[in-house]
Amino acid sequence: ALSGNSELAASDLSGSYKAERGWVNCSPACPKACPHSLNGPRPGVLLAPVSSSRCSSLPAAVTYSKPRLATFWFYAKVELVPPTPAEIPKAVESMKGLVKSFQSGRLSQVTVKEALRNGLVTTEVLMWFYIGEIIGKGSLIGYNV
Amino acid sequence: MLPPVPVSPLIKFTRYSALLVGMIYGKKRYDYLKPIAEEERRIEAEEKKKRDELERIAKELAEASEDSILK
Repeated sequence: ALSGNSELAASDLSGSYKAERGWVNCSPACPKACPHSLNGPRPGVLLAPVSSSRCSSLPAAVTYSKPRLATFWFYAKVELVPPTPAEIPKAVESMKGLVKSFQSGRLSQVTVKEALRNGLVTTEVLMWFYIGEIIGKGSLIGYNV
Repeated sequence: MLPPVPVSPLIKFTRYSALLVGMIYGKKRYDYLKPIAEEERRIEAEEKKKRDELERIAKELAEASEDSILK
């Protein structure tokens, strides 16, 4: 089941070996698009462990993207929210602090790691500008005039 | 799953202001480029009309001066 030739490989193994590893039979009741095979369920074929939650009748695209979207939202809810009005003065404060530390020669003490990280953050913020430009001009590539 | 990282207000603020500035910039630039492109298209169409007219005249002249009995 680990390789492509799952039928051959799995049928050679003893029952206890399968049981130990929690391998399951892909039953006909299992999904339209069983995660194990491209051609849907193949009754009697032994495969690597699968939780029953993965054996649903949902299309493969849904079963693939659902947990990933859940993870995305879990982080996005905290990390991607727009700043609240209360946070804006804080942002302005830290902007002032940035200018002050620049004037006091903090730049000569920045480590490579810090510089790299801050560079990445700056690039990310710049990319938001381009996302905004795409929205503003109403087309993905170029100006459709 | 790791807990989400509290993002610095400065980053959040600059992110969203960059998004907003980008939107305004995109809109402004689009509005600036649109009439220019329209004018260019108009001139192009006029020139094509002129070219076609000249070609037509040239063709007619060539046909008229052709020595042929197959007319």
